[in-house]
Amino acid sequence: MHIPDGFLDPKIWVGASALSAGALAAAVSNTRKVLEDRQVPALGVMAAFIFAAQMINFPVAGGTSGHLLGGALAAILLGPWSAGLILTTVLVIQMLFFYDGGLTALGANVLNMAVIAPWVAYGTYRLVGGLFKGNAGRTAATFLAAWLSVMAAALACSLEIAFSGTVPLAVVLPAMLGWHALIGIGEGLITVVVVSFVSRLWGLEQSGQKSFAGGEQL
Amino acid sequence: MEAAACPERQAYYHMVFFCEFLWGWKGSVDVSQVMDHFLQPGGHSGSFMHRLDPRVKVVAVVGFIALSTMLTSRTCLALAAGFLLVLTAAARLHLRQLVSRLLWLLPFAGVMIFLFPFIIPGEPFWRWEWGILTLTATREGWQHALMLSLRVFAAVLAVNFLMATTGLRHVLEALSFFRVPAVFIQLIEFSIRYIYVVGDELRRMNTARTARGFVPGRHLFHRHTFRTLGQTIAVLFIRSWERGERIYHAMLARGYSGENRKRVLPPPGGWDLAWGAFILSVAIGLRLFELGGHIWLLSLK
Repeated sequence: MHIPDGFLDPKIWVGASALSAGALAAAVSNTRKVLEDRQVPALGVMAAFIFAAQMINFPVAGGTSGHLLGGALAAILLGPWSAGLILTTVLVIQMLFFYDGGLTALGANVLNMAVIAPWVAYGTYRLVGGLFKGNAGRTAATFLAAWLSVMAAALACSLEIAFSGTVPLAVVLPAMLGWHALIGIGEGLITVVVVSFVSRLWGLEQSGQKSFAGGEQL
Repeated sequence: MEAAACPERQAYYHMVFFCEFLWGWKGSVDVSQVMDHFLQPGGHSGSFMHRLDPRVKVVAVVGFIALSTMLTSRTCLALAAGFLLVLTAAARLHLRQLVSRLLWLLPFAGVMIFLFPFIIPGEPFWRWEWGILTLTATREGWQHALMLSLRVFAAVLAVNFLMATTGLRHVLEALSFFRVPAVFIQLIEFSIRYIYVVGDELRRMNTARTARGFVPGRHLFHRHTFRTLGQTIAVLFIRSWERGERIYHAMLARGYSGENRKRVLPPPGGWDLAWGAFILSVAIGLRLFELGGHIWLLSLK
């Protein structure tokens, strides 16, 4: 999912970078409450958490394995704006230290994994969660949100690579979407477990005590 | 049976086949070791490349990568990579370090590049039949793959050159000079600090899980595996969250005001600017050469 340098056409990566920059500017202004509240260290810890969570592999099929993207998890637990800031931080660190994703492709990678994925997850979660009440409804909403966020990011990634003329769309689209449809199931299952676990625990405490990172009431 | 006749399906099989290799590699990595590796500037910190103004280096490297990813001829790309190897040698970075860092490339870009000969249509030059699977490599696909791997190689050499000779702190200082919001600079700093802490926590949890006899299942429908891994991540989240709150309160108690002390950087010297211009002009020169500039260069003679 991390696009390396050289896979994207200049007009694609410049355009994606511009979109990402706009989205991040919006995220900074929407999380102003947190930032004024001097909670940046707490957000940093959350970014480190997402980074570590991405290191955990889960089995997919036939000996293959995938790993969590964390976009949906961050969006559901911390809100989409904070999730964007956190995932962008993770992507920048991966780029500088692990060469995971290119420098020129950073804008595109941020767009796919730090903007599209969290917002698709958050939108789905609110929409489906609003339709079906109760525990089963929330489980379904969480699973769908996670699965769709992975698929949306994979779709955006395929389109960027295909429109750059690197790989024909007919090749990259089925391959990316097919593989990520499976990865998305794993992402969905894990996100469901985490969200239900955390909300049970937080439900036991008085909600008034919780200051949400990101300052977004969920 | 129709799998062999359908190139998309084939590409998909390759993809699945190689993801195992990909994530198996990534999973066996000790994060904090790698981070250590990168947080200390490599080589002899005495080389003049280490002393160049970080702002100049950031601009030069970003420009170089942007220009070199536009190159299409393999000769020019090889020259670009060669130039960066010369810079790396001039910075006296340890070769062993560089090779071990280049190994990181294999899982990330290597897999995609490996697939190209098999998915780009063209003149076939190699076939391999195995049961219902037929692998056909095409010459065009192979050339395409070579070009892309040269691009990735050059870009990684450039990022490596920047990080190894500059170190994170100066890179971040340069970024804040270029008006990157202080929020991001601080976020990156805090994240890196806590990746060690959270990573250690995760390692201890993994050890404990293994000690309790946990063996991961082999597929998506192994409920126990996903419940266990999900709970690991959930507990890690709660612990990170609470740690974040504790850190936040502790910092407030010590008078943290959210302000970031910004060092005022002196303007870059002529020597720095000249080096930056040289690095950029090599990239621009290669690009022009590729666009057919060599024709009028020859006519000047």
